[in-house]
Amino acid sequence: MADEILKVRDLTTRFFTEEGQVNAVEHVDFDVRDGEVFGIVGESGSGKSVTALSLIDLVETPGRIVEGEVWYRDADLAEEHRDSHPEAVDGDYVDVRQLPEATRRWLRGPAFATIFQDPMSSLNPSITVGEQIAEAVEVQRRARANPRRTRSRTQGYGLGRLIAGAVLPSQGYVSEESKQRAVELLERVGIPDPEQRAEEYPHEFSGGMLQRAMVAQALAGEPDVLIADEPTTALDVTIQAQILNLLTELQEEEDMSVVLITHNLGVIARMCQRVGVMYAGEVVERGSLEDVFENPIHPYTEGLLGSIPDIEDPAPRLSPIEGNVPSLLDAEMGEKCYFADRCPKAMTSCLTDIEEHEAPAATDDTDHLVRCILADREYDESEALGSAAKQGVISDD
Amino acid sequence: MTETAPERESAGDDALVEVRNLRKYYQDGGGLLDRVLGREATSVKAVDGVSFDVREGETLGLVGESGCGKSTTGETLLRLREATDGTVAFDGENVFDLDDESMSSFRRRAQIVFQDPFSSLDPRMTVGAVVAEGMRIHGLPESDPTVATAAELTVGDGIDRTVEVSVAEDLDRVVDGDDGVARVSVTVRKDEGADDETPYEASVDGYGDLLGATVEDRDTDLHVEVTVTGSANAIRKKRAGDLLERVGLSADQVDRYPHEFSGGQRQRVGIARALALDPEFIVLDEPVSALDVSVQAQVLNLLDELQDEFGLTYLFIAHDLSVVRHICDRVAVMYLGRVAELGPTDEIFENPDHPYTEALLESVPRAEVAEQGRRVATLAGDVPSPRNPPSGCRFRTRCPKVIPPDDIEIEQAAFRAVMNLREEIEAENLDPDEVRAADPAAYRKEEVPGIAGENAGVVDEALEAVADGDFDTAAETLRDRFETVCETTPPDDSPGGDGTVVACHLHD
Repeated sequence: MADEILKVRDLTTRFFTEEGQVNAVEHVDFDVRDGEVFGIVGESGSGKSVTALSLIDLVETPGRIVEGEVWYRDADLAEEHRDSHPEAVDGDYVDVRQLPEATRRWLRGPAFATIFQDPMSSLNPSITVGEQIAEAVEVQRRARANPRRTRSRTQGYGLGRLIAGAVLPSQGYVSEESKQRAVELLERVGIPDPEQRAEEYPHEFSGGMLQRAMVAQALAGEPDVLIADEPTTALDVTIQAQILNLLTELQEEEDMSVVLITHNLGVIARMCQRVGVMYAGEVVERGSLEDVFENPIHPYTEGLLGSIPDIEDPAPRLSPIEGNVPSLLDAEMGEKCYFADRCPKAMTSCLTDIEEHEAPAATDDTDHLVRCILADREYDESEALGSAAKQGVISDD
Repeated sequence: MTETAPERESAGDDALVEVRNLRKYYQDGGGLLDRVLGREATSVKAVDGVSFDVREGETLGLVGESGCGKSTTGETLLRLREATDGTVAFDGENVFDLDDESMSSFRRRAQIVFQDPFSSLDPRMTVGAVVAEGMRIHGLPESDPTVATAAELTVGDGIDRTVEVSVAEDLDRVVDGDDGVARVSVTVRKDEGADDETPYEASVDGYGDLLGATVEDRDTDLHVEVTVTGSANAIRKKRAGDLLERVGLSADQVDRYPHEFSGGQRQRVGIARALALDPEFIVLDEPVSALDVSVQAQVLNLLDELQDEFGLTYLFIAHDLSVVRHICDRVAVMYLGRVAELGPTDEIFENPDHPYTEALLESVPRAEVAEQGRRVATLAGDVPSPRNPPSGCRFRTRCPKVIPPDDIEIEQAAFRAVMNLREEIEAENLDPDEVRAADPAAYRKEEVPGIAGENAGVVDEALEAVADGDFDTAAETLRDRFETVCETTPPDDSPGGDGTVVACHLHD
């Protein structure tokens, strides 16, 4: 079995809002192996993006990671912290969440890098693309030279900073070397004429080109794990195909692992070796692409696959999942299977036998995990949860 | 509200909407400041000569990437935007020169559902008011003189007199007609054991406060009169409730506000609004793009059912090809303001004739295990700007099958590379220093592999001109030898006899 670069255990992130506590991510477990693309698929509000943010510790208030471990394999880091933070070290792995803040921040770049859905809002419109990438390179270069005293950014962009920058020119210093590297990175991601494009501003780039620039920026730190959160959702299919090809190419050549988050099952199928399906903040099913797509056990996975029209073999009617995605407000969730009220195979025990973690599917090997009572038993119609009972368990509207 | 379908003038075939040569340009610049600065106004050619028919009862898909003009086409043909040129005939009449009265009728018969269910519903109106708004504007519900009215009478025990019923003529404002008759059931009764003084009672079953029945005691018989008692507003609200129920919401949600609904539910409200005026034709502008897949499937099924039930004709605008395949009878593929290919859905998806359609279909990731690791032959580059679209065939700048001139011999891939180089030179994107440093012939081998002989000679000559900084000569040299029919002649994109289009010279 391949080695895991990342082992996520029991990750739980909640948002404490005025309306109440929102359980965005609940007890999520998964592994990412060396050189693989691990997919996380789910509908909006299923917690997939918050999972990504939790991995790199970028959850903003009112959100907070309340529980969980993110084990990242780095022998040097493990050695370094074995004495000072014994609880954060296990063999070659370090628990990112228990490392000191400075180290954690340092990890962003060489360990984890992210690309987000909307490249337009991820780049600063008033700074040239080349400069923004060069800045990322510069940060990584400095961090590597002096890992203890990393500044997470070289420069702020307020008026005060502008004045300070004029008085103290070294503040925003980006070396020629970094600028050169930025141009190389732009070339690496397939941007034609990189020298000239580096001088341009984000608005002069098309959507596809911007997403390439985002990838270039993510590559600045030569990351072990690239977290791509809906990297192609805002793009047209032909451009999406270009970006997916680029990601595959880079992943193979740079030997990165990729966590690919998307709602598009087709993208998952093209890119991923293994996949986790999220629903209402939980990973409900996870396994190899074959396990999940061809032998789905969780009725939600089945429903999801059944609701997309097949481009090659159009069925006369789709079989959608009835109802809507549930509210994640703690008060409204209760102790039951969150999918029970929409589930065509709901049984009475779905309201009581709650699994906190996935169980191995009885039908095949241990790699296929399901958070559903159907994991190790057959659907029994005599125990079917009637629609009235389903209504009873959901809120009264 | 029952309208028997009005007699249609035969339009030669069964086309409900005929779009011919539709153009929509947006002016950019040309304001006062631009004039002071001496800048010339340019136009963005969003839709640049589009022709197609939408046949009665069919779903025509309009598919393409963002910026291809598909939404603008949908909005322009409904006259929500002023067209720059072209005609749209709806049921035989040109939509662009209708008088006020015909326009009002057109507005009733043709409706639209927008993409974004969040911005297309007024947050300050209840969904009932949203759905009823169109009816209010058009003074509906009105009575249709061709619909007859009738009552089904049930006489209770203890009534041994003849009962006669008369029904108000405008009953069809409340009651849907069936085969041209609006029918209600009325019950007349008298409490058992009541004395002679007690009056008879008549009631209409269902319809709440909207209908009332009064009994008049005549000497030998009873006369029951059914009247519409509800206000126009109440009738509209009732109908809004019915429509909400029809689209899968519940009638008692009429008093709720849009923010109380999820995206899928709001889209259902948008559909109910479009249905409120009994339209014949609905433009569905990316109706499921903003929805999650599970909800998307629900809405697609709903649209299917409604089409059967109300005999609707759809123009379905979308970028998601699998959705289009699922719901459309025929598909028009648009590229940069023009129709590239139009034909029956199965034909388009199984045997695409246009290289762009092929590339588009090739790009779609399928949700199946066989998809894993599939490398897609992607189109290079981005869609050109609609301000200055390529001459001839719009797709020629990216087309992998761009046609070489007859009199030269060159590999397809090599010709594509030559064309790419030519565009770079015409746009003056090459760096003369770089070409000079690399030596033109070496540069050619790198950028345009696979050519030899005279072809290579011409390219070298052009690159030498580039090295001297003379882009015009370079472009001219290349153009002389490598001129493709794709750039000189626009392909024919008017619908043929069977309504299909393949706007590609390869197809001629």
